[in-house]
Amino acid sequence: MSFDGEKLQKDIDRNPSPSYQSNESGDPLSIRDYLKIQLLRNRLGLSYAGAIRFRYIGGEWNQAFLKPDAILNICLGFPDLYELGMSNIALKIFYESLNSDPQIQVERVFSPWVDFEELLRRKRIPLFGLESKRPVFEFDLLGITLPYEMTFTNVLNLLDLSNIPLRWQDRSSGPLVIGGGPSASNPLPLSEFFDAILIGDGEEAFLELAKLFIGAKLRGIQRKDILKSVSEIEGFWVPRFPAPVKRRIFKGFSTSYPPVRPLVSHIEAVHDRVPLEIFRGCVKGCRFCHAGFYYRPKRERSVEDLVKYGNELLKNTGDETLGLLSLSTSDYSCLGRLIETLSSRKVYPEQTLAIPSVRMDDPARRLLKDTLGIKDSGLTFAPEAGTQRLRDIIGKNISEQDIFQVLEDTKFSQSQTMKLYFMIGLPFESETDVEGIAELVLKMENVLRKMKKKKQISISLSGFVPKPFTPFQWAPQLEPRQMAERRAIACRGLAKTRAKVSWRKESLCFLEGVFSRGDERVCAALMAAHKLGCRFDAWTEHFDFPKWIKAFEEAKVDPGEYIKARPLSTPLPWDFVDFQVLSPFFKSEYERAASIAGVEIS
Amino acid sequence: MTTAPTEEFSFRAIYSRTGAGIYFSHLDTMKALIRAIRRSGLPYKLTHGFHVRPKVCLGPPLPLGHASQYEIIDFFLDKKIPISEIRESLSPQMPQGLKILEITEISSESKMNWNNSRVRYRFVFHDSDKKISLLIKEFFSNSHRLIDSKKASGAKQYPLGNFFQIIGTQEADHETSSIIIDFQQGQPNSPSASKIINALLNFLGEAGYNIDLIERIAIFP
Repeated sequence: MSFDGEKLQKDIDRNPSPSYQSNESGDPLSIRDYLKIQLLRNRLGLSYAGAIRFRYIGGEWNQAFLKPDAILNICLGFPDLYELGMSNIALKIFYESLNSDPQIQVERVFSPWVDFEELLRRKRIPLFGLESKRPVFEFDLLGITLPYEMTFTNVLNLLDLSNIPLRWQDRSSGPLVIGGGPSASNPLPLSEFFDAILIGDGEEAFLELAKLFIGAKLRGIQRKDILKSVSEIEGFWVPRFPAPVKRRIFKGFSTSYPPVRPLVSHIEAVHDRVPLEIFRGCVKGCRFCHAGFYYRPKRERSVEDLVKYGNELLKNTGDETLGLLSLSTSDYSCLGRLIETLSSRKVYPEQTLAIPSVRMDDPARRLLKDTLGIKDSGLTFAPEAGTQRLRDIIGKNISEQDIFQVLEDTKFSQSQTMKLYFMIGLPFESETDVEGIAELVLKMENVLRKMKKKKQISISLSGFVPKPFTPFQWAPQLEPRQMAERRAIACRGLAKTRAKVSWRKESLCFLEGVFSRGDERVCAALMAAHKLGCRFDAWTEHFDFPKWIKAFEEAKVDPGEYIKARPLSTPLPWDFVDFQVLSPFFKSEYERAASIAGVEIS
Repeated sequence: MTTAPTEEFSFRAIYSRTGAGIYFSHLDTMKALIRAIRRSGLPYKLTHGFHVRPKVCLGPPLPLGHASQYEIIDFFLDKKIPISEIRESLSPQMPQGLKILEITEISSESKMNWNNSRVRYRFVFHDSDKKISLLIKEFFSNSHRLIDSKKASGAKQYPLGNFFQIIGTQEADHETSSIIIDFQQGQPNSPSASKIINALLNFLGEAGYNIDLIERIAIFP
């Protein structure tokens, strides 16, 4: 069956007209036809309900114009659903910055939901870029962002649906498959699938890669030689030419232009706001936090620039809510002035601010008192641990007093709900620490009662996963059974409170642990899982742990090995990555945590 | 102290929903239109509710998957602005699939009321063997046919009755035909146009896959 992307785009662009080839004619169908059929099926109550939405059509506001003369064609892939990918800041950054180059055409592809996947497979339609509807395998580069580990099987599925060989060894043509993102900081578990993996910030590195590729394409340089050159760009690790690699840091962040013309999704994305990254990095140094180390150092944009960019974002999208993004927005050094200036220079009279990441400390208190004009999308805090002892061990520098003071200041907020995140299975955790979660929540409820403020507390429990390039990279992770026991202790205590409790599946945490600290052998297990049909593992309705157990058996890999404690004296698999944080620092931090716990580690 | 209410000027835009626009839900359409109004820079009026937003009033919802040449939005401005200027500001801000066809100034009293309105639909289909034309006629020939209707009060069934009128059929070429049907809406115990069309699609079964276009082409208040 041939595939005519140009015809397909025209079909979508023009008004539906009576000149369509029907399903019965035996001619190739356009996507428009398929969608129409789905719609009718949906209306008729047949399968594929929900397949019809805007996910696979493109054409959103601010979509890049097609450049038929572009030398380099890049498809940016997000290995999860459209609604999630459209909120991803990395995708927005690369889409806008690379598309601003007249030589480069950038398009998007997202993981199709299972209904649409079935349709694509049945009709043998390769996955396509949303802008031109060209098959992904016709692009020069496929750049896949890897925001979290549980999308790894979606990566394989995305390649499979694009008719791209899954292993780089099997590729002699088609796009170079490039990965990047926080969950690829240890690239080994994905080393068989990507031609190159970027570790660190991508703004400069991806542009350098694009320029290199344009030059190579014009000179007719072979794939292997291009990859050799890619391996020489700081930040890129090329499995074909394995060598030590240094995490890329975008030093020009503070003065750089953020995306100000982001695509406006016609269906509601998970974050219904325009994002403005106010600073990157964090200096709090929480010992469990991978992002805190991955995005170092802290780099702030100026208030003047942020106000200008924020207003451009609102003007260019028509959105009403500006989201001030960072790892911990309340740590922005001039947050008060920023809020004040944005409020005094409004683009739209009804515009609001959303501040999604707030620590329970002094700046947060000031912020809560200044909540006028801030979107009340709920209060979310992460005490992480139930006792002061454990918070000190993990480096979460907030005291119980801080928590209660912030709690008192929530009286300025109209929000009726408060979400609190806790981890269980943290290093050096005792049962008393787990019981402490409920005790802390009880005390918080008492404070709220005295304040005569009705707020529903929701507790989210998640198993701790030790991450590479953190002080806890040597720490053991609890087995799913042990983690479930600890969770049961926490839940028993929380049953005495009025809080709503939810938790992340222990088996998911277990797999995340395997992928985070895995090595090359994990690739075989991922391949086996893909063949067994694993995908959308982060989605409860699709996560199938028994299939994963089978996959590890088939790949002859013992996943339990990866969650064990690692001796401080032996090298770690990911030591070839220079994270630009000194390894002795991680070690000393781990030892300091152990000494607070009164434990000696070997 | 009370402040004097500011003046309000009301406008009505007729717009089309075609191509990609047929996949917009009613809520998605409203959000897209509100964004377009914001981007246009027009001095729009705001609602007074808890969640303040531009004051707009949309016509009857169009079911997902239906195209339309006659969608309506009323919007309200602080200033009287010439229609041509409004059109120049708003048209370029409409997203793909939505297109402004006409803007008129309306009196502030002329509120939308679509009770007892008539909507005109056009169906375009492949029909080389005339099977669909016959099936459609068969469907509408039985006025006792029961149409399912789900409401908050529970599922009900209404007879098809005479709440429709076939205006005409047209054969574009030997393969393609179209049929234009009016549906009466908003009368007590009457099925809505979308419910009748759903029932028609159910009745057509797989033959319904040959329908290329279901398009609302007019609303008669």
